[in-house]
Amino acid sequence: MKGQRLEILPSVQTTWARWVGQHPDTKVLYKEQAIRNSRYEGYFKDPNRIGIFRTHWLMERMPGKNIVHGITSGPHAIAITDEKLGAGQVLNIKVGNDPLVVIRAADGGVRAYVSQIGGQTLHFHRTGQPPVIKDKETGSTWDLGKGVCRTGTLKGNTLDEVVVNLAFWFAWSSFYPNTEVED
Amino acid sequence: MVSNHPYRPAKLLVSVMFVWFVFFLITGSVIAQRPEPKVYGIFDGEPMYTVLPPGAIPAIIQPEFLSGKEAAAQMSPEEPVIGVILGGEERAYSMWHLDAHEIVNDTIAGTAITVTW
Repeated sequence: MKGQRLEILPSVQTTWARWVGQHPDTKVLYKEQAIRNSRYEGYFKDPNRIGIFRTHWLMERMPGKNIVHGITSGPHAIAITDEKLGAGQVLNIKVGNDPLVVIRAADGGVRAYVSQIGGQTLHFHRTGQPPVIKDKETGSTWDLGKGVCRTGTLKGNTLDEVVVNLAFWFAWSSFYPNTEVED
Repeated sequence: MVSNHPYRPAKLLVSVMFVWFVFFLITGSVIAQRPEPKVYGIFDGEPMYTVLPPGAIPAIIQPEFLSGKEAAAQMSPEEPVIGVILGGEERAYSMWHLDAHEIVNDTIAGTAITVTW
């Protein structure tokens, strides 16, 4: 299998409450018994425990245990800080030559999509009362939890979703020392 | 009752120091004997180390699933999950559960996937 590469699929990390609240028909991996915490609580909480050993990372940019949401496109990489993706935030960014829209969806997961339809680049924003997400180019309304246009001239179109990696800053910058940062 | 014996406090101090000396002698030798992690290969120019023996963290090969309602009793609201949506199907994998397995081999909507962190 040498040289073969598996396709990484988009997924999200969130809490059980937020996931089941938005996905009531979800299936859940069976556990033989309830588990009430992580066996790695001590490691997660200790800002001085960075990796296992001999970790090389960009120490001067931010603390190693800061959570970032990392996206790559070819040789290009970007890390978006957790604070940048507060509730209601809609980010229009570029990774290399790829225009992307990044949001924290209602289920708490961070999702990113290539913000192009038919070669036209779209810029998204949250607007109106109650707030909805629209693209500025056509005024179409989008469900960016699924990447689908619900109303307007682009109704029925679906954006291509890309993988977002939730990681500690030390790990992301170790793998991608050339990464940009959105904070 | 306070002892007036002039040598008992000194003997106690020496005893305590001896115990600590032996303690550090043992732990220091254990630490010194801990084997260096073995390099088993080079990947992208970086050494890959072995830190656990094979099978130390068993993967889940034949996962079973509950509905959200069935799972409520064994899930905590703040429990972190990996959420996957594929072919219209939605699945959640507890990360606290994955602490002990790290890999789940699953099939969703006919597509074989591996869930890992």
